[in-house]
Amino acid sequence: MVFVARRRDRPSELQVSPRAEWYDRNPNMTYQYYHGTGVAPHSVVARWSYTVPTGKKAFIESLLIMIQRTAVATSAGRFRGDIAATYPAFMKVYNYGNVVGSGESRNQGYTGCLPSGFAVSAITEDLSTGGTVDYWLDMVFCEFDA
Amino acid sequence: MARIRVKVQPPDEDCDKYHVHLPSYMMVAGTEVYKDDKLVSVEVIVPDDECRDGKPDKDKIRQKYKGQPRWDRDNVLSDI
Repeated sequence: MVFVARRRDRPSELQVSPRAEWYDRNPNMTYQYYHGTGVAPHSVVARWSYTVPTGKKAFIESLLIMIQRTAVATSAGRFRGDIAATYPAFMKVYNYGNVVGSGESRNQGYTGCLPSGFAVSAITEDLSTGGTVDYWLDMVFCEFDA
Repeated sequence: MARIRVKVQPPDEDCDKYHVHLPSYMMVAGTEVYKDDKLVSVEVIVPDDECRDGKPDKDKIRQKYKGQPRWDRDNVLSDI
């Protein structure tokens, strides 16, 4: 495939690149997920992690987080799910509810492109005493030659 | 994908959460083992191209993450 673009300074001329588009450079659609049902309170846990291999980049196609209380806590605290790069979170949801069914969900598409060596983790935490929560933390992405 | 039981690392100066010292993994829900309220081990799924004979392979990980200081080192699997 040949990339063709019009020059800004000379719109009548075409600029041609021999390099294929990113989605044609050995693309590999893949995913990371965690689906936990009836999970008891816990401190911060990285449920999955993904590091972009050397010589590759990764384009995030979709992020999904859903958290939902499934059993009432004795003493309710914050429960949350994050998909984050160390500290800055791509997506973060949290809830303090103590009614079965209380929770949050969020979905986002085309989040961005990750460079080689970049790491992303999915985190859960529940500061309650007793009770349980269901968690879904999914990332679908396309890895391709950098 | 290979499914194996591994040690879980507690929060430390490099990472502020319980985590597995592998570049890419997915915890299998319901396989967590706690000891004295601390998460000590869990089953994880690891990509095929980082494994040999169903276990994480140091050479494959070093090759895949070549030049990345955290993973391209001789003792990369010492915490698993």
